[in-house]
Order: sequence, then C-alpha cells, then structure tokens
Amino acid sequence: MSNEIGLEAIGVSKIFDTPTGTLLAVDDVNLKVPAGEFISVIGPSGCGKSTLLRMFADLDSPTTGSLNVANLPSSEARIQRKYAFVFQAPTLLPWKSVLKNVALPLKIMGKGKEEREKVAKEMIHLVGLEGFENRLPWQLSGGMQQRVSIARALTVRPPVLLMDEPFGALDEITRDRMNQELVNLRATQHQTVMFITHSISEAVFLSDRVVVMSARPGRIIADIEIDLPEPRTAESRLHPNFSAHVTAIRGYLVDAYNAPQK
Amino acid sequence: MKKESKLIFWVTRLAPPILTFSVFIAIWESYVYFKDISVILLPSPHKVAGEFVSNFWQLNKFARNTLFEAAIGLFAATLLSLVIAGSTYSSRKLSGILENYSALAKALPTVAIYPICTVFFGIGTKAIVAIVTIGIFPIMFLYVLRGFAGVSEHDALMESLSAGKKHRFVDLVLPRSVSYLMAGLRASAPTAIIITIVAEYFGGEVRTLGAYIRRESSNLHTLEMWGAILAACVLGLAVFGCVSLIDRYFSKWRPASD
Ligand SMILES: Nc1ncnc2c1ncn2[C@@H]1O[C@H](COP(=O)(O)OP(=O)(O)O)[C@@H](O)[C@H]1O
Ligand SMILES: [Mg+2]
Repeated sequence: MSNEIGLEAIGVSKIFDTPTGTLLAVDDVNLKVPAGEFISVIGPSGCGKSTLLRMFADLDSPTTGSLNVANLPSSEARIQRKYAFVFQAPTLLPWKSVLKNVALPLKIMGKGKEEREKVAKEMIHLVGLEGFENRLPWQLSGGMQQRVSIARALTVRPPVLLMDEPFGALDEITRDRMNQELVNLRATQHQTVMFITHSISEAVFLSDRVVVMSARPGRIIADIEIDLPEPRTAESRLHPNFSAHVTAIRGYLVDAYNAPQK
Repeated sequence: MKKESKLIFWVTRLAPPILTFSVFIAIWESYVYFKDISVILLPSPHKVAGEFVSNFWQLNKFARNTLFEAAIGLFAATLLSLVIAGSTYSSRKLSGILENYSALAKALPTVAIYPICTVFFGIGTKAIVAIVTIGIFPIMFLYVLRGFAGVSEHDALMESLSAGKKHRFVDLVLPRSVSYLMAGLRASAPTAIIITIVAEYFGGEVRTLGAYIRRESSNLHTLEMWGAILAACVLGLAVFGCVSLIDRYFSKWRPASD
C-alpha cells in the first residue's frame, strides 16, 4: 500500500490561451502523494489550484508534463473511475431527489436500481442525512447540499478524492462540523485526498501534508508535513503544533502573495 | 399573508383581460343592437353564446377531432425535434446550419403548402397532421436546439463520472432543457390549433371545426359559424390551460419563488 502512488504530477505546466494573450496558470509543478495521504493545497485565489486539480481529474489537460492518479495516467483514471471530484458548489441535479443524486454515479456505471439505492442509502446515512432521501436539492440548506455531494462522491468508493474548496461557501461553524465529519469518514475509508482550501486552519486540521502555492503563475513554494496526534478531534486545534503550523503556513502565504508576477 | 397575495394575484393578473373582454363584448352587443345589424351579417354575442350552448355536443365532437389532429401533429413535431436535435446538438456546426434553416422555415407561412400535403396524403386527417408537423417543427426545433446547447457546471460532473452519451443525454441534457421545451410548447400549441383549423377549412375531415366553419359560412349560416368560432376559442383556452398545468408540474424542482 505505502509504495503505491495516490497522486503524482511530473513537470506539469498549464498555459491558457485567452483573448488578451497567453496566461501561465500553473508553472512546473512536481508533486508526489503516496496512497492514503491527505494533502491540502493552499494559495492566493487565481494561483492555479483549481486548474491543477482539474488536470488531475482529466477535466483539463496539461500543456507540458504528465499526471498520474491511483497509479494510472489521469485520463485512464477518469475512465476507470478511480477518483471522485467534489466541486465548490454542490452541483446537484435539481430535478433529482437526494437519493437519486447520490445514486447517480452508480447509475452511470450501469448498476441496477436496487443495488444503487442500497449503497446510496448507506452513504446518505454516513453523511447524516437519513430522512431526507426524497427531498429535492432546493429544499436543503447549503451545508446539507454539500453533504449530499460528498455522499455522491463516496458511492463509488473511489481510491482518490479530489475536492475543490468544498466547504468554501459554508459558515465557520458548519465548516468545522463538516471538517470533523470528513475526518471521521476517512477513518474508515482511507482514500487519498487532495483538498483545496483558502483556510489555513482547515488545511492544518485535515491534512497529513499541506502544500503552499505562489500567486500566478502557480508554483509550489512550501511542502509541510503536519505533525498532529491521530485521530484528529476538536482537541487537535488546541495542540501546540496546530498553532505552530498555522503560523508557519501564514508566513509562507505572505511570501506567496508577494511572489513576483510574471 | 398567503391568502392576501393570492387575491392580489387574481386581481392584478386576471382583472385586466376580463375587463377588456367585457368591454369588447359590450361594444359588439350594443353595435349590433343599435345599428340593427342582420344576424346573417354579424350575430350579437348573446346569440352566439346561445348557439354555442344549444349546439354544444356537436361542436364538442368536432372540437375533439380538431384537437386530436393538432395534438398528433404537435406530438410528431416535438418527437422529430427531440430526435434530430438529440443527434446533432453535440456538433455545433451542424446545429448551426439546421438552426438557420429552421429560422427561415419558421418565417414562412407553412399552411400555404397544404395543397401539396393533400397530393401525398389526400384530404383528411393524415394531410392535416402532416401540415401541422411541418408547420410546428421549425418552431419547436429551435427551442429544443437552444435547450440542448445549454451548459452548466454539471457538464464537468458528468465528465468526471466518465458518463457515456446516453446518460449525459437522459440524466442531464434533456431535463436541463425542460424550461426551453415548455417555452416551445407554449409557443407551438396555439399555433398548432390555428394551423389545424385553417387546414381543415381548406379541406379536412367533415366532422372537424375548420370544415364546419367553412360549410356553415358558405351556406350563410353565420350564427352557426360564429358558434364554431367560439368553440375554437374555448379549445384554444383549454389547450393553454393544459400547457400551464404541464409547466407547473415541471417547475416543482425549483423553489416556489423562482
Ligand atoms: N478555461 C480558462 N481559460 C482561461 N483562463 C483560465 C481558465 N481557467 C482558469 N483560468 C485562469 O487561470 C488562473 C488560475 O485559475 P484557477 O485555477 O481557477 O485558480 P484558483 O483555483 O487557485 O483560484 C486564473 O487567473 C484564471 O483566470
Ligand atoms: Mg479555484
């Protein structure tokens, strides 16, 4: 298990063609994430975090370099459904009930109705939404909608989770609760996770490792192992290492904002 | 609070058309009365209403036949639009070409080619259904195409799930375009009724509103003709009501305030 690769980026750059010229969004990123590791990516907005994540997901292709997901090239990993992507917005289909939204990936995989609804119900239970199976998305709060989208991501039991600021739109208290839920979920499932966030404390609380990216063009300027006792609980936030990590990352972020723009 | 807003809705939405309609009827009624217009030229509204009531069952039967022809034509045009747009929407170029053709076809008075239809299908239901299909298709097709061309963040979701063409269409593209399909239906349904009646007028099954209107008008049975015209109006309103009901059904996945 430990010698398997969860995520790997080799010399990855991304240039966008825009009406005003070319734009270097991601610049020579090299990153290796062992299977089972939780890695957060933090950096100024517009620095290329989403672009990097979308390239791992094969939703965008790199201009140079290559990316691997679960020991496969990212395009193959997408086709073999080795990852699940959690978007910043819940991205639920408004015409489908909670149950059907959660079951969607299994439907697409061609699983029978009975099986997919059974698994979907388990996942809905896991994110604490039993009783809401037949609601439509608009009848739920933002936090509940995002829980539905996480349940949907978990239904295929993917070895890799790619999460793009999934809790960015939530209030502080809901976000803390969701962080704890994510930790608890992963205690049983051990996926490799790449988690994008703006919040330093969220990154420290959740991660085994935090990567800091510079302002555009996005480059990795720091790679920090988080040293906190497992399992992570509310206590973790009070641990002396927690504030030490937060302070260190804040320092790197200040550098990131000051990094010269090309 | 809720009751009050409902009242306001009825007053603001329904009162103006009802008022306008009443004034129109009053002018018509008094014009016929004071000018002493002969019933062969223009019957007064209350006489038309009387004719409508006394001839209700026959008109009802004719209206149902007319509705049947219009509905089949509308259905065929919708199905055709869905199938053709469904197989071309992923190609922007092809969709663009078809869009231009449809926009042109929409601008033409399609009923004028009804005589050609009768050459192929004879005078009767088949020809009527054909002309309604031909007339409605460009209208419906444009809406369907526009609906299918929609994009949202769900496209990336489908991509990330490695969804095949079928699931993309059934689970995303089709339901995402429902508001466009409904707009298409709202635009097409009344037009389908009009095309049907006009085509029937120029040669349709005897037991339909259009053929009846022609028969009665050529026999100078003006009152009977107006009864049938009133029936056509009622049919139009009924169709409008049906479309609104379907519309309401499909809007249940949005918040009520939307
Ligand atoms: N499809 C695209 N076309 C052109 N420019 C893009 C596109 N996607 C992202 N960008 C640009 O690339 C940069 C990085 O974007 P993004 O990865 O979304 O940043 P982040 O997620 O870190 O906020 C931004 O300047 C953004 O405007
Ligand atoms: Mg982003």
